[in-house]
Amino acid sequence: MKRAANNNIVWLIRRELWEHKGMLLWTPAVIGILMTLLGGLLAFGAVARTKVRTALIVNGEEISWGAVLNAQSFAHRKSEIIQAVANNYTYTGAPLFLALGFLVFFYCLSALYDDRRDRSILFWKSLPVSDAQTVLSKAAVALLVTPVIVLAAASLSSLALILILCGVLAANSIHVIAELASAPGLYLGPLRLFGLLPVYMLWALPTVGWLLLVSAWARSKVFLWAVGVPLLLLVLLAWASNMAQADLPVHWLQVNVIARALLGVLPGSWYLFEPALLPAMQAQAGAGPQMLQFNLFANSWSSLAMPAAWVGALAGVAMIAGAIRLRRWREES
Amino acid sequence: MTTASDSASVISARNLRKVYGRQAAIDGLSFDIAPGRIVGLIGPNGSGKTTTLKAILGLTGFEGELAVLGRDPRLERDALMEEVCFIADVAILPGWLRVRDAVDFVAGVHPRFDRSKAERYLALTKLKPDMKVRSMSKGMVVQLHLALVMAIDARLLVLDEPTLGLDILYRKQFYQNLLEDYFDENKTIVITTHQIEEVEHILSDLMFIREGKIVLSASMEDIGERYAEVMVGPQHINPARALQPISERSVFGKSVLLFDGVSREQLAVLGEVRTPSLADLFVATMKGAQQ
Repeated sequence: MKRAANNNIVWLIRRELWEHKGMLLWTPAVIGILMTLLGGLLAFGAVARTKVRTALIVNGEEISWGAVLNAQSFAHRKSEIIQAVANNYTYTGAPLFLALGFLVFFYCLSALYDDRRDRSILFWKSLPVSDAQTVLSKAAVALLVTPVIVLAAASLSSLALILILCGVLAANSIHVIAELASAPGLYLGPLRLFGLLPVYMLWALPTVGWLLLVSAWARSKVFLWAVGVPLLLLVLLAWASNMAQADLPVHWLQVNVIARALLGVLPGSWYLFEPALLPAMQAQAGAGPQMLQFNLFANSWSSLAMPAAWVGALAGVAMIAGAIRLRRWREES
Repeated sequence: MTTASDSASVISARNLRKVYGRQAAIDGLSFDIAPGRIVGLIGPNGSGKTTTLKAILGLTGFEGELAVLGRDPRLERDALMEEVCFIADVAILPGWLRVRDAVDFVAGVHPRFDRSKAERYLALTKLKPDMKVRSMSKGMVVQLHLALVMAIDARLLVLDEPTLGLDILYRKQFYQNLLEDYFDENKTIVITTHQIEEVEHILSDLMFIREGKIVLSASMEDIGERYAEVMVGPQHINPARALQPISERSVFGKSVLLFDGVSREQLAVLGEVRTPSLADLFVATMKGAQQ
């Protein structure tokens, strides 16, 4: 029975990938390729421009940039720069991380609604697959499969970008590739990205839960219900707070309930909800760029020491349970 | 087949009731369906047919007792779906689904699915493995759905208006496939449809349902024995009317009277006796219930 359930979940996830191939596979791939192409163009543009003044005059002698940067006296500075680049290059995946937030958001909104709209839910329900398996497979696609695809795209495209940069430098006879290849940051970068996945999953849970709940419940206009209702609630509360001159916790609600229900799927959202995390990071960032990346990783993990992370995750789990119930009993007219 | 539940009814319902708002969609339905039958559940729009099917399939809550293959569809739906199949309406396969993926998926999740059987059916159609449902005609979608369903060795098949919106060729083909390649004495089929003429010759049992209540439930043999239609000339009309027909209509100047429970010998003297068509019986029954 256990094995059958796992087997079903695997098929259900495959099903999601068939249905959302364009959204979940092609969008990250295309963004990654565009980023790489754009980076390549910029790099070649930079070469073309510097070629014009490829040499500088020192004491009446022409010395190439390459000679300057390859010079012994510059070696120390150079390795520092290389380390910094190796430790931070995965940030170039930022457009993809932003895209991840949007992808997961809209995936969840449609996940339990689309097949009710086109009535294909009756086909899926005619198969021996439980509603819990269906909903959990969709949550797994939102929390695990999509982030993994996007992180892979981000790792690949940032690696491609750094290789392009090396190529451009090599064309200017600045050879960094050997040193870069021996920098541990180059390999740790993608590992750290994937290492943040559990943190992302926990902070994204409330938003995924809320969106799946609305997706399982709304008869139409899913987006309006999912976004409009929390915002309307906020406006009403702010208004009531003003009218009654009472000190209603509007701001608290805004950050800890509304924002977490809607923005949790953005990577790094924990810095949005818990600004207290930031000073700790900035204080240590003074130690240099090498520390920064490391701290982002450790600092993000430290967010899990906050009760808010777990309270939100529990709320998310409860809402997913609600979505399962709705999926089981909600009747289509 | 040795288990106890096999000898009993496939579906056993007692006092089913489902209320939407103030309107009772089904109101105290009780019936039994034996294995190896093909049952037509027939009624006008809004009579409660679809609600009854939904209750059988565990898609809706209800009051009363209902056992499908010995299980309560409210509590054991997941297990039930291994032995029950349904086609809820035409064209409910999602547009993005490819033929190949549909077969893979059902083969992946359904323990009673016979892949080679599905592929044999598909080979007889114009469907290609790469085709998406979006690009198929309505008839082709039904062919795909039927190929999937017929390859599942289910004990109960529920069809809700399966041929709605199909042209006559596909409709004929649909029921022919169902009878020749799918149905056997271990299987039970429940069909709802508007097109009574189409299923008339394949049904073994009949249930007329009206305003959430069963107004007629009988096997086709019983119907043939119980109901008779007589074409009566004007000279015999008064004695014929005295036998209390349940309906009367006129065709080419002659009257056609439908009788319930009047012996054929008695009727033969009045004119030509026939077994009524289900459509005529349906109209007569529904009219009768209105009075």
